[in-house]
Amino acid sequence: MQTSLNDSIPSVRIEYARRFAVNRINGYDIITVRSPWPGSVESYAYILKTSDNTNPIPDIPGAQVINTPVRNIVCYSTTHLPFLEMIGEQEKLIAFPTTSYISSPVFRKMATDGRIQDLGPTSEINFEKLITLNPGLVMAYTMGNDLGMIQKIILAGIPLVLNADYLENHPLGRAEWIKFTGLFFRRAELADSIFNSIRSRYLEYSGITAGSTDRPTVVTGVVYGDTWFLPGGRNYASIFFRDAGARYLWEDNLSESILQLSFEAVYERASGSDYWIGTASYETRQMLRNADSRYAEFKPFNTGRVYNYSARINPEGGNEYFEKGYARPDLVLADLAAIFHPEVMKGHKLYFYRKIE
Amino acid sequence: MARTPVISSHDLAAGYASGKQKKIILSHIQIEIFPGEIVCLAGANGIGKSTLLKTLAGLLPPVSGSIMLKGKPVVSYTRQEIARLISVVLTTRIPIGNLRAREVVALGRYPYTNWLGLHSAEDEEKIKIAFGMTGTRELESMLIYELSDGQLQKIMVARALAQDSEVILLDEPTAHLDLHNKISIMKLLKDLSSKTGKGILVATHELELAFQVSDRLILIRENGTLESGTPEDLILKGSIDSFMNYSSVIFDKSSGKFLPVRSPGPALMVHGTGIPYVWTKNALERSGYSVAREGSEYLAAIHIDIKNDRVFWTIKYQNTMEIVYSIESLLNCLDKFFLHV
Amino acid sequence: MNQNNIKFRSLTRIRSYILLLFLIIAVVFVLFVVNISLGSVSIPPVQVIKTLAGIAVDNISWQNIILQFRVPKAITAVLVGSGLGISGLLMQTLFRNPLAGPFVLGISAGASLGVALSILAGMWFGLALTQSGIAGTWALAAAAVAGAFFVLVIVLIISSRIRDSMSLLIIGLMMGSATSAVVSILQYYSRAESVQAYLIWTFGSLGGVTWEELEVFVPVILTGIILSWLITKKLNALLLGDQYAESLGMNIKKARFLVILITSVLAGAVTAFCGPIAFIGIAVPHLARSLFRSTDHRLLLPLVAMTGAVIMLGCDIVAQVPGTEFTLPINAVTSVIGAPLVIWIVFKRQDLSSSFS
Repeated sequence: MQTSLNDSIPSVRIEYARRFAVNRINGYDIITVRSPWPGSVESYAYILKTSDNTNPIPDIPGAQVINTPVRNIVCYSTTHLPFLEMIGEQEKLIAFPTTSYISSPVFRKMATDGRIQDLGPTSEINFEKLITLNPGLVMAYTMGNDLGMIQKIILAGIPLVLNADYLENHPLGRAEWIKFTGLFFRRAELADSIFNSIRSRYLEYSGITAGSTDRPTVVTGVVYGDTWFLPGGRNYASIFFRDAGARYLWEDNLSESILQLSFEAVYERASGSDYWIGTASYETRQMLRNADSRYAEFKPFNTGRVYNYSARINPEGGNEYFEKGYARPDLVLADLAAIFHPEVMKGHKLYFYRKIE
Repeated sequence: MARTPVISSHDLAAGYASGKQKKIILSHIQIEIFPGEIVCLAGANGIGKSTLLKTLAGLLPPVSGSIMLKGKPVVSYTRQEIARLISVVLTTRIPIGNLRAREVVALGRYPYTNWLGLHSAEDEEKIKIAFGMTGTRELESMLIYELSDGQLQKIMVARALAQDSEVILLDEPTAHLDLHNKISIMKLLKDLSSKTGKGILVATHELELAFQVSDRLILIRENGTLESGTPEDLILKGSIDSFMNYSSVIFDKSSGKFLPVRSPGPALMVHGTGIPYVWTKNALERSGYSVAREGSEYLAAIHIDIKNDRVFWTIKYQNTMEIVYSIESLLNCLDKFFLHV
Repeated sequence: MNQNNIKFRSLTRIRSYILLLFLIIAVVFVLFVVNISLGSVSIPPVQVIKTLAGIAVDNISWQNIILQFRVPKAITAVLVGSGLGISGLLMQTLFRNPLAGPFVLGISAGASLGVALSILAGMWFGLALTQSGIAGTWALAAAAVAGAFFVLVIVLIISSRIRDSMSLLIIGLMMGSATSAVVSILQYYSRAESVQAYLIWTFGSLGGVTWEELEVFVPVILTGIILSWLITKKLNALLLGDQYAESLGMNIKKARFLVILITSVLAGAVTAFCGPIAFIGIAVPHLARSLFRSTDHRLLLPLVAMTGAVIMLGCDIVAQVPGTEFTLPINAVTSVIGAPLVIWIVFKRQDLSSSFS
């Protein structure tokens, strides 16, 4: 008899993440990942099997059965890695595409010691090497363009799950994917408690800034070619600015994705903004001015209120913000709150951000 | 008379040299062209006429030897000075078809105009003369892809004339033209050489035309040796016979024409006189019969007679005799006798 | 009689040419003003005219948008259109080929290689530039110039060794393919962000050129245009074919060198500042010829320069998508407008092949 997920009750409480849910049937945790790439309508079910459960495995069409705890793991994205470290399972990572992109010192050391195999560029995973490694789990993500390769890996008998953390619109939603990772290692409680402490710190900072009546205006990003890329008003970055007590100049916009605007449109709305957060590869005001002298026309350029997420760049060029920022929104928010409201965040030392001189 | 040639070569070797590789096509060439004379350079296709011409024109560097212009080595002239002394008509087509004839001819003034190519009154005059001498005034405003081959060739000659050089080198100017245009171009060149005093060198493989116009003829033999002289001297010396050493063609000294070689067909005795005799003989030879000489053996006899202004032919063959009233019937009758035996 | 007739006709021809040229210059002026009046931010025409006239307006942000964004962009459009149009004309004449354009010798491929090296393989080349304090547009421009120059030097060395322009064309095309292949390989092994940055560069950009950059861009393009004017006599002679041109006393190798050098200066500068702009170089000379049938470069050159300016200003107006905050990549617009334009010209002028090959 087929089992319907709708009849079961959620076994793990998910507060912010929208793209995954966990239910329990016959004592088995079943993870459902919804719409794992932009524009997709598919959902994927993963049945987490344990050796101590002798109940019949629920019959869910198309579901993959994965033996847990997994003996080891291959991850596709650097954003998957901090969770492994946080739940203490870092030693289980055996391979990664292009290890030079990793910025965590723990994993970097493992890579140099040869304990993490390099699988080549994400766009063209070394399939044969992956098969030979025979990992207990592959944690992948997809933009929808490499489904063929993903299908091939599953057909080769290798358990593969799709992680959709990058599609979450709330910063805490992204961080909540620690619960997803935790389940495969049977570390659900630990993951839950780590997330709870991150959440409470995040809410604490946003509560502090909410008390401040002053909401400084903020602009973000730089121009590429003729286009200035900006997060939409419903985007993850926009929520960070709101929770940090700033007024993002495009917060009224209804888009969850990225806006592509002309330089003059951004100039008109944002040249008088109080803060400018996120300057991509430009690390000094001199570099900004060299790139385009019109950046100097922006108010924050002259008042010195320009910040970039580049405080932690390792010698190989990897930026810790892009790796750990997903997992630790509390740290990001604390930085932003301290930038916009130094009066209420006294003594905070910026972690990811630095002031552009 | 100690005339100075406008262009001369000394122990010239023409060919292509790129890097260490040399491909010599013609060597030990001595050529002289004097003012006011038209010289034809004759040789079989592919013998190297174009290469030699381009080398003389400075479009190809000589592999060895030297070229003199008006008694001075060519290297002592600038490009512009050379362009004022030598102009060319090549076989290469003009790649841009929507040029107007006038623009093509006007470009002949290139060596004389300033950096912007603006024309002086003298330039305009020379262009006008060039059109006039070649009889192409009505073509001035036409696009060159609209011109017939003959018209185009005249425009190219006009362009060379506008360049106002002392020598004009032409490469196969009559190729691809019909008989009328071939003769017309050659006559034009002949007139130009005598009227303007320019030296003209024409590379051609058409000897019959060359005999008719050239003051001197330079033959390039199969083995690469050159022989030069008036066409008549060359004919009398027998140079042409050995020159055109083809089995299918013989040179008829009396007419200056090349005729197809015929294997001697059935010999016929022809009795008759005057024009009817000449054309009867022509028709028989053309059809593969040979005309027997007096006293030699023959298979059939033909008598040409005229009665009441009408020509008729009497054919005697073995025991038969037939009378016909046209050459066509004559040939049919002979065919009946000799081809269907 | 006939002579007088021809003289009369050529006089009326010159008169109609001058009329046409003035008409196009007038169109350039009109489009220039229209271009400045339209953009993502809607500014009342009165304010635009006031600003251009140097009269102070109430909204300083509008004044800045007009003077700092729109005027430099419109000037850039004029320079790009003229520069590419003329270099296209030079290549079509040198190779006597209607499909030749500014980039047949691999100039844009070379520039792309330089930029790809700086963005994608940033390690050796780009990083050196960024660390030396040159960044953004200047760094890309420097990389593009270096790449284009590298290809150019190879083409020039080859051109001095061969007599035949057609062989040069083939070598140029092959150089282009080989360079593009190297760029593809670089792309294949690069991070998604870098590939995106590179792709954005290939979309082309007119808005990235500021007054500071115009101080270099304007004199370079003007020099190229003046130099090309100085060789019009040579260009006319080249129409007869290499051998006839040589028989007229022209040094064919020197002329070829000059033509290639001027093309490289014009097309190289445009590519360096604005990226590889497609189709304009091929389409504009044909368009100019269809406006006035002539093969005389003394007449064609000014016409091509002005027609190029008209087309580029027009394309930029379309790319602005007036009335919205969004923009289209300029290359998309030039291709969408340029390709049908070339097809239309081919149809309208059935004699194109007979007149050009």
